[in-house]
Amino acid sequence: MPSLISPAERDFILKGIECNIRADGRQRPDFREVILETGVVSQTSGSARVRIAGGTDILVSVKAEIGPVQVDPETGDGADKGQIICSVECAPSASQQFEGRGADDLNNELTQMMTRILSNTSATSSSASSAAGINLSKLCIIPGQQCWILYVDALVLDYGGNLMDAIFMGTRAAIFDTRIPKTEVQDLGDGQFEFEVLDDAEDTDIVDGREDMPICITLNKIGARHIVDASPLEELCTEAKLVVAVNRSGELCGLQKGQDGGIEPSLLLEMIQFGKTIGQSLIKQLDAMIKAEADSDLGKRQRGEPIHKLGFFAQ
Amino acid sequence: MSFTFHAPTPRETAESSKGRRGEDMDIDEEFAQIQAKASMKDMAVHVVTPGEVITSDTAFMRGHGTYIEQEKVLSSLAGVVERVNKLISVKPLHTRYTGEIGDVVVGRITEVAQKRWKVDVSARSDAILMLSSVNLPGGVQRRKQESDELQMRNFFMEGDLVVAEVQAFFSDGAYSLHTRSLKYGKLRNGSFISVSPGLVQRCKSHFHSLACGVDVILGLNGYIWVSAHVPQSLDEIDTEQVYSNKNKEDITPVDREAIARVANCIRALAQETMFINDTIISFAYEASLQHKLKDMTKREVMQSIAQEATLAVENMKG
Amino acid sequence: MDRKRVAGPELSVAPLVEYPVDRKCWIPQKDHRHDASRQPEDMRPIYLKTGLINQANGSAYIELEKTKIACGVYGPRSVKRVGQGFSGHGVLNCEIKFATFSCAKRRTNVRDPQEKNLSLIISQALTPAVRLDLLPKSAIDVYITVLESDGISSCLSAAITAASAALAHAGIEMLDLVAACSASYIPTGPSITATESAGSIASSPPQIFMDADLEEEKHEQGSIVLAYMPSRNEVTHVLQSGKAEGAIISQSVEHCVEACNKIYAVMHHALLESITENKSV
Repeated sequence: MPSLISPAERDFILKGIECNIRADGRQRPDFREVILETGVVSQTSGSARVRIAGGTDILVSVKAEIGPVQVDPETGDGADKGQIICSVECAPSASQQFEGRGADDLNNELTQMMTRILSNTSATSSSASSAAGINLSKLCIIPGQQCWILYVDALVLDYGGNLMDAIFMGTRAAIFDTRIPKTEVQDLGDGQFEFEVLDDAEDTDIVDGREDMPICITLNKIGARHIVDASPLEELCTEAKLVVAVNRSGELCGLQKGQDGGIEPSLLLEMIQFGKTIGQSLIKQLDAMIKAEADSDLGKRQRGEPIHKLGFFAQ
Repeated sequence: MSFTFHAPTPRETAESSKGRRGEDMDIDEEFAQIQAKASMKDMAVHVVTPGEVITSDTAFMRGHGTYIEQEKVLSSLAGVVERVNKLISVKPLHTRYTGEIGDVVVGRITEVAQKRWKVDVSARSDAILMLSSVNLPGGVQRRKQESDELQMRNFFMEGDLVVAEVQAFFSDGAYSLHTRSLKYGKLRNGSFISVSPGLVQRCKSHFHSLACGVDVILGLNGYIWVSAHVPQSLDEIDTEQVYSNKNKEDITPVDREAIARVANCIRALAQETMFINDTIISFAYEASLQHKLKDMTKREVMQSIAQEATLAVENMKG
Repeated sequence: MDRKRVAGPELSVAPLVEYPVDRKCWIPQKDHRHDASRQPEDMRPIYLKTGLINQANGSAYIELEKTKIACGVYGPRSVKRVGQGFSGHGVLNCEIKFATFSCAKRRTNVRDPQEKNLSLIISQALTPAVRLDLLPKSAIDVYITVLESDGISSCLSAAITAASAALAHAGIEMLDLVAACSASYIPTGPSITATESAGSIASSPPQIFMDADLEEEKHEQGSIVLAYMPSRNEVTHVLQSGKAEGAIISQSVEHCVEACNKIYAVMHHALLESITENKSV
């Protein structure tokens, strides 16, 4: 993770973006190649490894655990809802700067941003789902008592720019890969319930509403222009960055400015619009990729062939 | 806008990956195969791992990367065995830069200290560039003054990239650099690439002007600078210019594309762990012309460029 | 009951307390706010005063009805930590702390992740305005204490406004003042009766309520906080959460920009006042 850049390099990158030729030959709205595999960690309910060619390497795991429901003491909300708890951790092996407490600020920023976008339950009475689209009431087992808690943990294994987008792509893939065991609730009468987790690997639930999960696009404003999927050096030149979270129907699910620069209001609206279009088409292609892998896994399972995941042996 | 998603590809060849899976081969068989391979040691390269016996012949002397135990020469590194007469040494496959006097290196200033700059050259410790080892504006033979010491940041600042030559070693193993030549100094008009230090070989020159109008500086420490061509006339000695941070105004889009293309070629070669020199870069550049510039970040394209470049080099050698 | 020991009356009644009606249950309706005197685009009245903390180089106090925030600016001072490397730019450290009693739920004394994140947001919102390039090797500390919070979004925007006024009061060179403003999108039914059926709420587009308070925030579908430099026409921070259509966002951005211009006038006035006060002393 570089932290220094020379004025000449900065100028070269800035002017290059101005004439739409970035330092690695991409144009402003081009993403780098993304390498994706789901189901790489056996101990999880769902997992995915996302790599952006050129460095960034992220492992996202989703673990479904049973816990007590969280009820808002004031409004009484949440008695019939499950939870999503997000966290991001930058592994010290990814960069020297992440060693010790070095990654604390970055971890906190990414975790908070992810939490804001994914598990910000709005109190709106009209829908039980969260902003992330996931149907939280489906995660409830016994209203007022027990529910499924989805722990979404992203681990940054290598840094090559554009962490946030990669984390969200990984999260989407991991949630699509997630299978939650079915439960059987018994009413013992007298307000007492008992439930049993069914131990059938074939018959499991998917996460309801996963298609409506948002993905985020980070736009980096460099000079008067903005680019997507910035490389580490481009990130150093960034004056202001805008994270736009969008779902497949084009609704905005979150917006946050980062870095120490300003944006003109008209440009801000333009960037939001741009992020929206690019996000929607990214979701479409990502979903196609996830589906292709899921289909091929399913086919193999049906034919009784073993499913091999390349995991960390992959290139 | 463009996105590409794809599934990971196996790292090994088909044959070896089958072995890894253990579908039709058990561990003994696998071991036997490795041993069979190991017995073919007459091959040109002899790769060893730490603790492996290189020779039990006492006639040999131990060099870098080896040690002697019970009269045998053992390797202390993972790397390739090199033999010069009776001297056996092991060159590591992947390591930090180990320099020699006279090496051309590209480095990044990390700190401005008392009468010196610290420079990151991808070596074990930061290299040192003394204020007395640089040419100061206003004449080569000018004497250093106290005012120079106070305005060191006007010459080189943290983050600046420089090309320099290794002048000497300090007793603690740190390199002392100098920029006392017009070809050395601050880098401008281009972009920076870092590759494994072992990939850049020592050549007659490390400053190249390619046919496509791009200058390349191949630092022996694996730091490479790709920039727009600047005609160098030795008459024009403008020492003020040496420390300027300004890029030249007339870098055309065509130049930029060429720079990006060359930079991507170097990345492709580095990804395929191939030696990097001006010849192979030129071939890679030619091979890359059949691809769109923005496709060059794709792994497949990078592989094919690197392969074509190797073929072209082999053809040239005959 | 032991009559000898307990000398209370035989009969006891609960105290008679009248709760204001709107406080108990407020149902969002079109053009009808929690505070009935406000229109959807109205902000709460702002009280802003600079120079209340003597120890600080600059300070400000802001009050939007129940939201009360104090802010102190210390510096510029030289960076003490060695080994961080030279920087030609100064650093702006912002720290926001919610007083333990400021929210419905008791806060702890230690900084929690939310406070850390808000601190980062505030410093990102203020940095574009401060001429840090003129202050090499130095740092400015901005400490914000939330005495009472009435809605987290409005609290954040008030904190940014107060911090910017305090920076100006501290005599730190700035390009412009930063005004910040929040807005909530609240789904409203067309009439009171229709709110009963959930379907109609979902279908009608949410209404934008500027500077929402806590009660309104509970009903919100999403919210936006926007920090803006009025003279330079530059957005220094934007933070949106919750789901919303693009049109709503662009509309609320416009509303916020407008509101920020109004806040700017208040800040301007408060700063001028502090100067004239000093003169008279």
